[in-house]
Amino acid sequence: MMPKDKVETSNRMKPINKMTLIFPAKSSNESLARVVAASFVSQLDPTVEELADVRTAVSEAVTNAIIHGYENHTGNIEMFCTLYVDSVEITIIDEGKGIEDIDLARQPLYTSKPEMERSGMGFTVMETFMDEINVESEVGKGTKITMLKQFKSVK
Amino acid sequence: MCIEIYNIYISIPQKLSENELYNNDRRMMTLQIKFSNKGNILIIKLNGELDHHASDYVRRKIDNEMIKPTSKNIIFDLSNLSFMDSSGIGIIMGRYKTVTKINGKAMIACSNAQIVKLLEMSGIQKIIPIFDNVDKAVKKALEVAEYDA
Repeated sequence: MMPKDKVETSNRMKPINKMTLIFPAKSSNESLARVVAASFVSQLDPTVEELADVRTAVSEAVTNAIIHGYENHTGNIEMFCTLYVDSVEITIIDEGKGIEDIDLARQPLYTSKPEMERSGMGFTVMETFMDEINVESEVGKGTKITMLKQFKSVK
Repeated sequence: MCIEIYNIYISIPQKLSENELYNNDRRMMTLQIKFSNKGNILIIKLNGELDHHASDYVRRKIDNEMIKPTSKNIIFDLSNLSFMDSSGIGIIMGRYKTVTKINGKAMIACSNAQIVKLLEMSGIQKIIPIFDNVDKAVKKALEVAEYDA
């Protein structure tokens, strides 16, 4: 028999629900993506604040894919959500131009488009509002952002 | 008579196309913007969700209003905003730069915890004071305006 805490850990790692959303890189779909993510996550009954964190982070990731990944060209964005007992993993994938220097892009206040009046806070917001964030990118291929949010209110 | 018809012909289609452009924007958008003035303070009241999708529309509307000579100081009233991401920070910072050029002041009224969290995270509150309601922001702005005069 496994020790009790190990059983708990393995249960926590077990996905309880999954969802995929694919949509064209149009700015009007930014609200769609964050509303879908939030309503999917609300199955766990997190706090209003935790839900708002997820909404904001998804909005930033999708906005990045639209204005930097596709630079307002057409293409699809895929959002995968996996729900665990007390957390969610959200992956946002674009097949856009990719990020040359990920470390530079993640710097607070860095923006490759100052003329657009972007604040350069996108990645910083994702890092602050989510618990873990992982960025994989290949120039010319696209970018994959994986974010994990732990819901401390959910027991 | 002929001149009148000519004038009408010229002006109306232009107005229509401009309106159509904004209407098309608004149809897909969950954001409304309202302007009011108190002395030389321009109060920008935003309603709904401010994201990258709404940002071009909002920027265009605000800049149209800010070129008026009555708009020396600005207050962003975000009390009725249900959502904002870093696109909003970009817009506020941009307008802040414009008003400081004419020695004006910018202020923010906001009570939404999530938006305040975002504003504080961005460090914007170090240069633009945040009040929990618009009346407090107006009071402060009027004091500043009096002091300047």
